[in-house]
Amino acid sequence: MNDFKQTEDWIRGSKPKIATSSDMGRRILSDAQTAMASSPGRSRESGLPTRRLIVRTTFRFTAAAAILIAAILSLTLFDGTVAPAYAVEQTIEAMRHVTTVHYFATDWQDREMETWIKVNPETGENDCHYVNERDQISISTPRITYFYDPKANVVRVVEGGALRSDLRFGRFIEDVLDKMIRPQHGEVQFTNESDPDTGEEVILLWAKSSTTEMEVMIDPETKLPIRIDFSKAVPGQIVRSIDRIFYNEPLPEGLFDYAIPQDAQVIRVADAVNNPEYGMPVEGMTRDEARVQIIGRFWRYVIEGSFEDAHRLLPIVSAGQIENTLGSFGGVAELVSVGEPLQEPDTHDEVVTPVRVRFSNGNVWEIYQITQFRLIDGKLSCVLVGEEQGAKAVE
Amino acid sequence: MTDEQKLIRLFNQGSRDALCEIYQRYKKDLFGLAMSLLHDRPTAEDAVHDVIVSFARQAGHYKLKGTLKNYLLTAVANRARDHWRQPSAKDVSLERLSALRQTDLSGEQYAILTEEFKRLQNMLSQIPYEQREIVLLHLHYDMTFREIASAQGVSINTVQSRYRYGMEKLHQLLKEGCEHERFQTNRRLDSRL
Repeated sequence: MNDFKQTEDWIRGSKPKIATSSDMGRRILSDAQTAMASSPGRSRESGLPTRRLIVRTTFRFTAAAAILIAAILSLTLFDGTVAPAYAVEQTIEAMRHVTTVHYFATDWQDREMETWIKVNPETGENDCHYVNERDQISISTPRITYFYDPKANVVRVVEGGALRSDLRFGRFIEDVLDKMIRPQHGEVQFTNESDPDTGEEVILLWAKSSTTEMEVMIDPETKLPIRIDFSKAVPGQIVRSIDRIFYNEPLPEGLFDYAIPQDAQVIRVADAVNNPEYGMPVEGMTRDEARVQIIGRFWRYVIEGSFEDAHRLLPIVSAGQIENTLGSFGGVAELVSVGEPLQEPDTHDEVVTPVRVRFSNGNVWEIYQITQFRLIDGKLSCVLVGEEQGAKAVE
Repeated sequence: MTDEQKLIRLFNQGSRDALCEIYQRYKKDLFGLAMSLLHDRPTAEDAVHDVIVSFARQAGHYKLKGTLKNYLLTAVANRARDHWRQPSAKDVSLERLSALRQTDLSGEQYAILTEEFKRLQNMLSQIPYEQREIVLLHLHYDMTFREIASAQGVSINTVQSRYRYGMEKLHQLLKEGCEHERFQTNRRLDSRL
C-alpha cells in the first residue's frame, strides 16, 4: 500500500463525531420555517399552496351557527402531505381522556398561580379545584369551598363548588364554541404555527368574540392544549394566561382535604350574606338607587378608614382584610365613578357594577363590585358580596 | 422515485416535516464540515444556519441536481470560503485553532475532539484553504472530484491538482509526525538502559 493511500485512510478515520446542540437546532429550524412560510413558491406538481395558513377563511358565527360548528368539529388540517396533520375532533377526543389538569398561570396583575383540577371524565366538569395564588389557597369540591387568606388569617367558607370555569378542560373545544363564540357571533381560526419559545410546530386556535379573545396552542402530537393566552376576557375571569399545562398527573395526596387553622377567623359566606345585621335596607328607593348608595357608602367608609363599617356592608371580607388590601395600594383617596350595572337590577339578585376609585398614589382602578339583593323576613335589603376578577388600572 | 426525491417533493409543497427531516438528516455532516473549515463553533453554527434558512426560502421551486447532501455541503463550503476571504478571519481563526481545547466546547458537545482530529486540524491549517476544502469534501464527505468541480465552478483538473498538492503536504506532515513519535520512543528506551 503506498503511503499516499495510508494518509488518505488516516484522514478519513479522523472525521470528527458530531453531536449537535438542541438549542442550535431549534433556532435553525425556527428561522428556516419562518423563511419557508414567507417563500412565495407554489408546487407545480400538486398545486397546493405553501402558505402557513391552513384554513383559508375564518369561521364567523351568524345564523348558520349550527352548520359552522359541525364544519369546525369536522375540520381536518393538511400540511401538504397525504395524511392529515390535524383534525379538531382529535383534540375533542383527547380531552375526553383528561382526568387531572395541573397548570401554572398568570392573572391580570401578572401574579402567578398554581392550579390543580380533578376532571369528571363522564361529564367533563371540573369537579375539584385547588388554587394557590401568592399563598392564598382556594380549595373547591362539589360539597364545599374554602378561601384562605394567610395574611389576614381568614377562611371564607362557601357551600358547594364555588370555583368554576366556563371553559372546562374536559369539554374544551365545545365550550369555546358553545359558550364563547356562538352566543356572541364570534370568530374562530385554526393555523399551523411555530411556538416562538421553542420553535416547535403547534396548531394555533384563535377565537374572538365581543367579550373575549384568546389563543390556544395545541400540541400536534398529543392534540392537547399546551398554552392558553387571553388578550381580552369577561370581568370575573381570573386567568390571563396558562403557561404550562400538565395532564393526568397523579394528584398529590390530600390535595382537596382542607382543615381550617385553629386560630383563623371563619366567615361562612351564606350566613354573612343572609344576616340582616349586615348590608343596607332598600327602603323608599329603587334597586338601582340602592346599588349606587351601598357602593358609595362603602367607599366613603374606606376613605375615612372606618373599616369595620365597610365590613358591615361587605361582610364576607373582614375589616382587617379590607384595610390590608386597599392599604397595600396606598389607600383610597376618591371614589371617581359608579358605572352602569352589567345586569338589570330589577330582574337580577346579583348585579355587577364597574366602579372607579383613585388611590393615594394617583392611580385609578376599575373594580367590578357585586351587589346582592335579598329578602329577609319579607324586607328587601342589599349587601356587597365581593368583586369579580378583572380589576384593572385605567389611569 | 427515490427517498430523497420524495423528500424534496414534500419540501416544495411546503411540508415543515420534510424541512425538519432534511435538517435532521444532514445536520451532523454540515456542522462537521463547517467546524473542520472554520475551527470556530459560533461561526460554524452561523454558516449552517444561513445555509438551511437559504435553502428553506427555495421551498416551492427547488430543483434537485445531484444529491441534496452535496448541495448543502457545497453551500456550507461556500460560506466558509467567504468567511476565510476576510483577512481578519484567517488570523483569528488560526489563533483559535491553536488555542482550541476540549474544554472550549461545553454542554452538549458539538464535536468529540479526538486526538486524530486535532492533529488533522493542525495539519490542515498548514495548507492553503482551497486545498483544505477539497481534501475534506472528498475524504470526509465522499464527494467526487467532478462533483466538487461543479460545485466550486472550476475545472476538474484544477480540483485534482489542488487535491494532490494538499495531500502531498499532509502526507509529509503526517510522516514527520510519526517519525517524531518514533524518535521520542527510542529515546525513552535508550534512557532506560
